[in-house]
Amino acid sequence: MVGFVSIGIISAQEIEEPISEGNLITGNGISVTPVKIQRNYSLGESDTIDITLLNNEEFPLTIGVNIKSFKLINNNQNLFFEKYPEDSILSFINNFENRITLEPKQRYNYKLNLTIPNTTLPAGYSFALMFESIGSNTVEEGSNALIKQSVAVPILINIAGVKGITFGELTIDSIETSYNLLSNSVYYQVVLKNNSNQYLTPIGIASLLKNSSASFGPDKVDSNFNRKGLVVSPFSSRVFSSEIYLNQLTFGEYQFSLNILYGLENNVVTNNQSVFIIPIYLIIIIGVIVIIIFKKVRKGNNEK
Amino acid sequence: MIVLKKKLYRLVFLHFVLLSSLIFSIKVSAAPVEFAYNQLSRVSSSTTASHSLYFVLPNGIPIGGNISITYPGSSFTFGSLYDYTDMVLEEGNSSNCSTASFIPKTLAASASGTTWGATYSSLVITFTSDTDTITANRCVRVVLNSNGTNHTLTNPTVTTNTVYNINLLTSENDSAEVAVIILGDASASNVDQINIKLNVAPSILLGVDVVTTDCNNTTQTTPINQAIEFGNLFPGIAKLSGSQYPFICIEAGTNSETGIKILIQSSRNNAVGGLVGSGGGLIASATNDLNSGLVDSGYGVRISSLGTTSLGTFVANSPYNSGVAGNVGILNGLLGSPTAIVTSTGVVRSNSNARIALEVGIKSSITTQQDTYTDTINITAFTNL
Repeated sequence: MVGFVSIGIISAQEIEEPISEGNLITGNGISVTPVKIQRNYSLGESDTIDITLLNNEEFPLTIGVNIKSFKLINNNQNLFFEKYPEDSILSFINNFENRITLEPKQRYNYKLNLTIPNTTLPAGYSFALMFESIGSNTVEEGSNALIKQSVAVPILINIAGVKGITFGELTIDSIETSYNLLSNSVYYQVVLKNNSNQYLTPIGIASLLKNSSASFGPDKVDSNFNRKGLVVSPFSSRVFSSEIYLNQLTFGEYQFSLNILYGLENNVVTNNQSVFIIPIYLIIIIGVIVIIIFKKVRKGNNEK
Repeated sequence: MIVLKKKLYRLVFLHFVLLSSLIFSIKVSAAPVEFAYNQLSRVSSSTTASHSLYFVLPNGIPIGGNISITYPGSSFTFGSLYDYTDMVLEEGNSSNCSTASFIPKTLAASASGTTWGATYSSLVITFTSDTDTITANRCVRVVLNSNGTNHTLTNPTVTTNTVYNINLLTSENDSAEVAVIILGDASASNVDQINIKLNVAPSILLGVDVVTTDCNNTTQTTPINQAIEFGNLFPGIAKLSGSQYPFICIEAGTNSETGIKILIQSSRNNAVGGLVGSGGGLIASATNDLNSGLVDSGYGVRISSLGTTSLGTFVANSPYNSGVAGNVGILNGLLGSPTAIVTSTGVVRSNSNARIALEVGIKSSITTQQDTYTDTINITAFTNL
C-alpha cells in the first residue's frame, strides 16, 4: 500500500547534519534520523529529503506516514498542529509513501521528493512527517483508549523573497548580562525578534574581552551562541540564555560581545556591553584585610 | 711399549672429553632469550613513541645482576634528561607474556636494597639490582615511555621502511636481539596512522507499550494490542492504571543536544479532548483529581514514574507531574495544542527496564449516558525546535 502524491522539484541550502547509517540510537519502538530538517529553497527548485527509519522491535511494524502542518506558538514555546496540512505544503510534495512495513530490526531509507512551485509565496513553511505505528482500530465493548505512537521529523522550509519581511530580519529586542559570583560565570539573556516571515536559526559567538589594563585574566573567552540550533519562527521572539564560565584568576572590567549570524546572507547582529568580574575569593580577601585593619585600628585605640 | 702409548692416548683423549664436557656444562647457564619482542606505540618516522619490551629470561636476574638494552647508533633519539622516571621494569608471574600479571619494580637513579638502579646513557638503558632478583623463566616487561620535554624517545628519521635491531643482555649472559620496523615514506608523514572522521547523525527513539502493574520491566506489546480496556464504568468510581488496567510505558531517547519532548494529545475533534460515545456522549478530559468526590467525571493522564535514564534526564511537566494517583492532567483534542508531558533539554535515554510510566485515569458520573466511549491517545516524540 504505497501512495504517491504528485508534484515536483528539488532543493537548496542544507542546514541539518548528514544522515549516517549506523548511528541510530536503538532500543524498542522505532528510531528515526535526522531529528529535524531545515532548508532554504528557491522557486522551482526540487529536492529529495532522506530519512532513515529503524524498527527496533522483534516483530514487524506497519508504519503510517502522515504530514502535519504545525506552528510554534507562544514565542516558540509550544507546538500547535493544524488539523489538516496546508495546501501550499501539500503542493511541495511530489512523492509521498504513506505506509511502510518494516521487518524486525529492518532499516529503511525513506525519501520525500519535493518541488517548490513557481507560484509559492515567499515565506517560512513548517510541517512534520509523522511516522506512526498502526495498531488496532477495533473497539471493544466498554470504555477504552487506543494508544498511537509516532516520531515526528519537523521540516522547516524557507522560500525567501526580496529584502524585507520575506527575506529574514532579526533584531536584538533586549539583552542582559550579569556576573554570577557563585558559579564564577557571566550569565546573559538575549531576546531575539524575528521581523520576517522566515524561520531563522541564529548562531554565533558570545565573547568576553578584557576591557582594561587593570583587569586580570585571559584576553578573550569565547562561547558558542545557540549551539543547539534553536529556531526563531516568523514574527516571534525567543529568549536565549547561557553562561560563560571564567577561570578563577579573572577579575576586572570585561566587555561582553555578542555576534550573531543568521539568514541566507549570514547577516550579522552584534551587541557589546561592559561587565565587571569580582570573584568571590577576592571579596573574601578584601573582607579579611578590612577585618585585620579594623582590629589593628581598634587595638591601637585601646592602647591609647 | 705400544700398549703403554695406546693407554696414554686413551687417557689424554678421556681427559679431553671430560674437560670439553666441563666447559660445556659451565656455558649452559648463558642462553638466548627464548621469547622477546618490542611493541612501539608509534612506528612512523620521526615520531615520539613509547617502547614496551617483553622477554623471558632463562636464568633470571640474581642479586646484584643487571639487564642492559642497547639501541643501535644513529637510530632512536633519547631526550637529554631521559632517566629512570621515564622507565618501568616489571616482573610477570609466569613465562607467558600474554597472560602474565606484572608487578613493577621500584626504580631510582641508583640501586639500593630492593630498589633497582635505572639509567640511560649513550643509547644504553641499564637496570641494576642491589638485593632484588628476577626469577628465572618469568616474563619481564620494560616500558620506555616518551614523556615531556627532554624526556622523549623519538623514532629515527627514515624515508623508506627500515629495520633496527635492539640488543638485550643480562649479567647472566642471557641475550636477545629484537627487531623493530620504522615506517618511512618521503611523500607522507604519520604513515602508521589512519585518520577516521565521521558524523554521528542525530536521531530519536520512541517505543510505547501497554503494560499492567508498572513499567519497571521489559514487557513489550505490539501496536495492535496497545489499547487500555476499562470495561464498564460505575458512576463516581475512578478507574486508574495499575494491576488491573495497564500503564502506558514510554521508552524514549535522543542523541541530539537539542533534546526531546514527548507530546500527548487526544484524537477527539475538539479543543478539549475526551472519551466520546457512539451516541455523542462525552467524558471530557480535564486536569482534576479523579479520586475527589467533588469531581463527577473526567479523563486524563499522569506521569506515575519517570523511570530511570542511562543518559540525561527527563522532566515531568505540569499538570502531569502530580505524585498522587488519580490526579491527572488534561489531554487536549485535535483543535487544541498537543502538550509536552515530559521534556529533556539535551541528550537523553530511557532505560529499557525502567521506562516512563503514564497512568491513565477515567471516571464517569451518574449523568454520563450509557454507551461505549473511546479515544485514541497520540504520543509523539518531537525534537526541541
